[in-house]
Amino acid sequence: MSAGEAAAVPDGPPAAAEGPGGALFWISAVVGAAVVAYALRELWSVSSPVSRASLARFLIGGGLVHDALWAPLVAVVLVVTAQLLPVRSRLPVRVGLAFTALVLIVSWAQVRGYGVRANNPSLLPRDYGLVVAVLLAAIWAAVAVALVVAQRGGGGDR
Amino acid sequence: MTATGRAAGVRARADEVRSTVEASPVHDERTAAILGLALGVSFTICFVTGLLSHLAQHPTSWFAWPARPAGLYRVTQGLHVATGLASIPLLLAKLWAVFPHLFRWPPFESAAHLVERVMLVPLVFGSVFLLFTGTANVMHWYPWRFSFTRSHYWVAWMTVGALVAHVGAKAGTTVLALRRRDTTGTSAGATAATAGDGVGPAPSSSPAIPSRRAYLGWTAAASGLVTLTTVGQTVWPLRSAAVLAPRRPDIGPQGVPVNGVPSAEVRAAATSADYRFRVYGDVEEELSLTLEELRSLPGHTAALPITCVEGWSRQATWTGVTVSELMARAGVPASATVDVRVESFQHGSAYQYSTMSDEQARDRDALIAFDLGGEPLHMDHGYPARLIAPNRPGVLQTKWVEAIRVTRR
Repeated sequence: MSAGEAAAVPDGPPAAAEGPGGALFWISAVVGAAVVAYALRELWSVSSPVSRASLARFLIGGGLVHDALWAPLVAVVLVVTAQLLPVRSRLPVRVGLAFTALVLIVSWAQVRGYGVRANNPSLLPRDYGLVVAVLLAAIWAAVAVALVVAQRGGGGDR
Repeated sequence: MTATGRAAGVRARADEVRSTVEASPVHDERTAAILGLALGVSFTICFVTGLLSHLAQHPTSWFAWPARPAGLYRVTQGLHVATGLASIPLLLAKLWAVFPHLFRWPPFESAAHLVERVMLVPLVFGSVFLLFTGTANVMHWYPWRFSFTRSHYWVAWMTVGALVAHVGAKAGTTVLALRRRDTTGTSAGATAATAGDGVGPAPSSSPAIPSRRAYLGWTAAASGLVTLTTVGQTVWPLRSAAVLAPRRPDIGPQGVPVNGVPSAEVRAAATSADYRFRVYGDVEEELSLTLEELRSLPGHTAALPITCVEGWSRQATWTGVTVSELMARAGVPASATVDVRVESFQHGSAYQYSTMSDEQARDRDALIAFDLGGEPLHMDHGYPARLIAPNRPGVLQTKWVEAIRVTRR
């Protein structure tokens, strides 16, 4: 047995089964909670009532959008693609959808032109709608190739 | 097919997806550990470089931002924005990997477990907030009513505090997950696991289920795609690939991007025939120079980057008079230790003043510049004169300068 194999832990029950605890956990939790509390106090002290409301909306809203909308939407997409597509086609299409979503997330503000300033042409200087169209075309061309390869790899079983 | 039949079909697919999620290596501890490590590295780089940017803009008694190396801030702030953008797919992949844990029942099993889960709230909410506001900021999109800089700064501290607690909670689990033999990283490995004792993470043998290796590979590719299409705003050789960046470093007046443009008041003051550049404060003789007199002083040319806090940068050639030369002409001894405040026509703005330490002000390349690339400064670059000095955030490279005030310590 090599040293690497000796260091490896064989498959077994999930490591988290024992749950958190111990000195490292509690010291980290106390230090971390103190930093969180101090940061929240500073956030409160540097904000006006109007900005506090806006801050709370974005701070809480962002996490909620992820947990209550985005992640469930991903699950729905998994269900729909499972419903509509042959088994071998699902993974390429899901990866294509994931990359499409990523490109749209990263480029949303540019495509919508939210930051454009008429008196500053060096800001957002490209035709981002065209850029995104080209990127999405490239992504789905790659998906199409992957689908052809997957179909040649073995049947269209559902 | 009847509606009942269709509903049954959807339920069957949903059950299939649920069993897929439960069986998939995408959602096991090893995947979460690897993504957590990657995210920990990117967030740490992002936090440290952000903290350095904060300290460069808000000097303290215990930390002096150095004048050299000249391109240090270009590297740190480029890293700050690049790691932040690259973290978007990493965070989404990590949150998806652990998403099933959100619904675990009972929600906690001990006091320590409750503490661990409570600390996830500032970690997740803070992470999403930081990446959203940071990305919107570099696009100049502000759909909120709070101060971006202060909120981004303190939410970063909040998130790091929660990250410390999370690392303490997950260190042991992560080490174990990473040391465990990887039998599900590939489809072949998954098949082997199925054929083995059947203990451990469920296999990934369906072509519809990504293996762990594939999931991590696609995540890395997504981060790479975001980086490749944006980092050229500061990495010159990649400028043509920066198709999703909010800037291209060679687009702007005189081939240099611009962040802020002058108001009508600033424009009028900067082009006035009465313009005088002043040196005052703790000096032997105050100077009040016309633009022609300023330009007639012994000049100095330096190649320095202009680096915006929003992550773009551009190396350029600047010509002007050194701050040291101006202080010497005003009778400030070379032996004096000074602070220098550079004053702009942007009256009432947050950018009206910037300060320089003695080291920064006496640097050989710290200039009150009037030429860029051999031509008079464009109005958007700070005509008639601006500060350009090594290793400074762009917001401190004050434009439309009317005076410098010298204070001896």
